[in-house]
Amino acid sequence: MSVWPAIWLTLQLAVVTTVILLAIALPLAWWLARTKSPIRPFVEAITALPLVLPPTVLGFYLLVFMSPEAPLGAFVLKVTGETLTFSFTGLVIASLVYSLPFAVQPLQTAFMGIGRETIESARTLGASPRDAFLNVALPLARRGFLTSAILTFAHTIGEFGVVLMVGGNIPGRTRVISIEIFTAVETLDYATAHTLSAGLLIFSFTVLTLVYFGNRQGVARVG
Amino acid sequence: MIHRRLFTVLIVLFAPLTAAAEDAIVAVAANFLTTAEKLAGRYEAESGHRITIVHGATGQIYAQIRNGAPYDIFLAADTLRPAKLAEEGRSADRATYAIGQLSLIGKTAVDLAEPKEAFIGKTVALADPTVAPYGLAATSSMESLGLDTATFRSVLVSDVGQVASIYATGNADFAFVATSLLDLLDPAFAASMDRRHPPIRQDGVLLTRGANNPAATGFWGYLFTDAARQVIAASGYGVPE
Repeated sequence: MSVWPAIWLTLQLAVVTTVILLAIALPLAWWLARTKSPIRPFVEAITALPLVLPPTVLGFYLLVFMSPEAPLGAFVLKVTGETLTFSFTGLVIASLVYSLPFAVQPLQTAFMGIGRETIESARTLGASPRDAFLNVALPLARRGFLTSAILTFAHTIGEFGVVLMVGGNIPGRTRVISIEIFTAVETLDYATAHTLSAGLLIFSFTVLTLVYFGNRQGVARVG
Repeated sequence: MIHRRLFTVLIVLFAPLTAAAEDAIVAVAANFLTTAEKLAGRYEAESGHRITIVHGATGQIYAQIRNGAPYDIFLAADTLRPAKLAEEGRSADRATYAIGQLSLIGKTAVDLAEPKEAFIGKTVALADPTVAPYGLAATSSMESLGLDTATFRSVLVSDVGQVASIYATGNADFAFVATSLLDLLDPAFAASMDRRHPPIRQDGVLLTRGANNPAATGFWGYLFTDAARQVIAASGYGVPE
């Protein structure tokens, strides 16, 4: 069996998820890093939930919300003619939820590391809040941004339980690499299982090494 | 039955009008996966249509269809789920396409007249009876063999495909698998559990979603041709009269 459709699908999912999630995570992380609002701990807790919840819990709720019998699922079915569940769009939504903490947390840490004074100096020198964010905070937090992007991408590639529950196992449509491995093991196709598993292992190791290498360089530069 | 024949005739009659290649998604119970792939390959070569096979436990696939899965045909491992789908208005046609057979396989031989001893302290893999009809057949067979489930360890997984994989990776001493999977597993010991459990009638459903898809209706008709029945019988199933 050819493994390329699964690899291609997984890459598409990871790219789309990373782009959308960074767009969501940037303002959210910025707000979390700077706000004194009493609701901050609640928002932080919600953001971190996917880290501790079993994928089955996320998968179950997403299945319920996106089902054609639920308002959201019914609406999308009416507009597009396709169900949200067992579709690529459904997988993207599930991945956005599942990978949220991996996008927000490194960015939030990076923004917090910049310090209030730096931003306030910029403001005193006449920068608008938008200027201060775009030209001061963002460049200073670029390493956090990169870490967010890499971790979100890698984490989405390794997704399994949520995808299986929300997307099922449809070749070319929802069968991502991890599910292809599951299928290969179930059908005793160990050659495919070995190839893909080794591929993911090497990929994950490389990504993590890059992240830690980058972190270390960051420390050296600051020192 | 007459309805189905008529349907098949209609499909054959209109086949030339629908020459364009179409795609259909066929969800099959895990036990039927390899057989379905064989059938799909032959049908694709004959018709030019494309068939995508998705597999899982019958109960799982049923739940997926309820939640909007885009399947055109469902080949179940029981009659219960197809009947439910018909009740819910999701079935355009429904018929028995195969009669499943269960086998006990093992690393060591078992005397079926006196099997108790051989099982003591062993690990036995079977499908979960609540979602997999082959699991239900396995529990009936264990009762018929007079096995005492307290004397060995039962490992329950969601479908016979996983049972096969657990056995093949050396994680079970015995396993109750679909006879159709024996070729793949090549076990040291295998015995048919025929007559030790109620027959596993496997019904298929042409889902309403697939009723207007020529690739789906074509494959549905093909399933009941003599050529397809021969493939099904040769793969370790009974075929309906």
